[in-house]
Amino acid sequence: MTAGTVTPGTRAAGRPGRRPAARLGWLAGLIIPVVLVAAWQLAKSLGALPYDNVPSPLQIWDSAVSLTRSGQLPGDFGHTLAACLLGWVIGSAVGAVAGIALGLSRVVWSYSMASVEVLRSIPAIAFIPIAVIVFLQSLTMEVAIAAWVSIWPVAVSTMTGVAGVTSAHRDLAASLRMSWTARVTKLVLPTALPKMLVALRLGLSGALVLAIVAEIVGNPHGVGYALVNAQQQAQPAEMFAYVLLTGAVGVALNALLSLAYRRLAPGFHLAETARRGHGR
Amino acid sequence: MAANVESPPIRASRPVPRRASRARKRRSAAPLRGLLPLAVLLGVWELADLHGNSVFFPPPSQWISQTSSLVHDGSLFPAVRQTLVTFVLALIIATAIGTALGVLIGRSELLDRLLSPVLEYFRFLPGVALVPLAVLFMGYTQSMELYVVVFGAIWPVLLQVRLAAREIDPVLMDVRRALHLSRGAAFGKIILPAVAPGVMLGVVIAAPLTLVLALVVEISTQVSGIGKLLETAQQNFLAAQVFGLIVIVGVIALLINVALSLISGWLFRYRPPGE
Repeated sequence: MTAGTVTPGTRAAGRPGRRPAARLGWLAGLIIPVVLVAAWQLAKSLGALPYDNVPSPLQIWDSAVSLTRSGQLPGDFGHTLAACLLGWVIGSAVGAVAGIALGLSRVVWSYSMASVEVLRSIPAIAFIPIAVIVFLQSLTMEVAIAAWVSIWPVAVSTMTGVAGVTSAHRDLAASLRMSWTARVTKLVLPTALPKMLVALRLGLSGALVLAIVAEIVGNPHGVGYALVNAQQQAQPAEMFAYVLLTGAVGVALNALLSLAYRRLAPGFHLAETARRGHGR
Repeated sequence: MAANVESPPIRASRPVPRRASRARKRRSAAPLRGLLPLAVLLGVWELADLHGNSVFFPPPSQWISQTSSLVHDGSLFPAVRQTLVTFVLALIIATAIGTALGVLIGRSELLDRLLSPVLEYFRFLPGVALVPLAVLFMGYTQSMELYVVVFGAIWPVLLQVRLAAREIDPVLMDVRRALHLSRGAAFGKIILPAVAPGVMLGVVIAAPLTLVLALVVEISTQVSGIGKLLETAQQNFLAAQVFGLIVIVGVIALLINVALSLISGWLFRYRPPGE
């Protein structure tokens, strides 16, 4: 974004002034949520809300606190997160192996890529009923579904990432007489890593969504079931507490992943944010 | 600078895109023989269980027979139509709202700063978590389904358009000023074409999400559609019917992909590839 053309204020001056301005911008971002919540509370207190059963922010806060005290809310989120993370790890591992095979071997690619395309374009949601029939209402069912949805982005991105290995690198590996495993760990994986990191992130969001859906539809545990349960018992404050916290968990998972990226692979993180257009 | 702005369409004349698109096709379109593993799997599956004894994994021939009973009792096609109507409507509404908001936010640094955390939050809030909430307030209705699906599908479009709007070439905005274009004309002639690739990318990301959300709503509530058929089949332990419906959902998803890539190919036919 260049300064000069879009400068509504005095702020967006030059590079050096960028940092404090950005921090201020982040604080400015708190204005709207705070105003919204305050307006919501006010409207509720004055009885101006159209729906009677919309809870006020304070009621939501109260129910979140009491759910946390009783241990129900942490337990539910723990269950959902466990299913999501376990499935994500398994699915990503499978996806990475598949992606490396697809990217390295022309034969594997040409004899299976179309199958992968078909399987990955089927919405994972559609497999939940079959998972429920096979694994019944269990954690295994959730994990299986979360793993299934994580496989595809990682597999495809790893494949395209592996394709980025240049012929010069391949020649280098040949002249160093690198073993096959050395080639994969020292050449192929590092080349594919940036794309894999982006896909891992996608996979994690997908796994969280699918774990929740699996709980709404199949396994009566965790956040998804808590939502349905609160709906059936007409407890809107509880529902809002769960929904709002689910969003917070989504944000937190992503923030943690970003942090891990920055720690483990600083250069790649830069590349990734550059691709997304702006840093944090 | 002016020459720079004009050059892409000129370069995009005949030979370049054609050659490049053929090269791209060779690289990215997987050959059909890649379907072999899937075909072998289905074949083995069929042969391994000729009598159809397996409760969990009924053979493909049973998928067809059990699914065709849905055709006979006339419940399949209305359900498919229902889901597709919801999908198309939701995607169009979400694209319109997402594009409008995306341009608005992307073009205003102030709005961008004010709304950034809110957008980040909603982007990571799984839309499916809203389904029970929407049911509580709107009941098991078709309009509830539409609201939920649109709400979930707006974000990818909005975020991509915001990014595209933010990165519009400043020279283009100078052109607007030089030509004294009105707000409306500038939107239609400069901003919209400039963010169009962002819109398309957003739609491509939003489309699978939209289908998923529609299915989730149908599976978890009583709203009719393919999702409800899936749920009913599962509750009756008709595994073969579930598999048959999965195939149908897969075909729909594939057709949507094809349709989207045709639309984007047609929309950007004048652009040099790789842009």
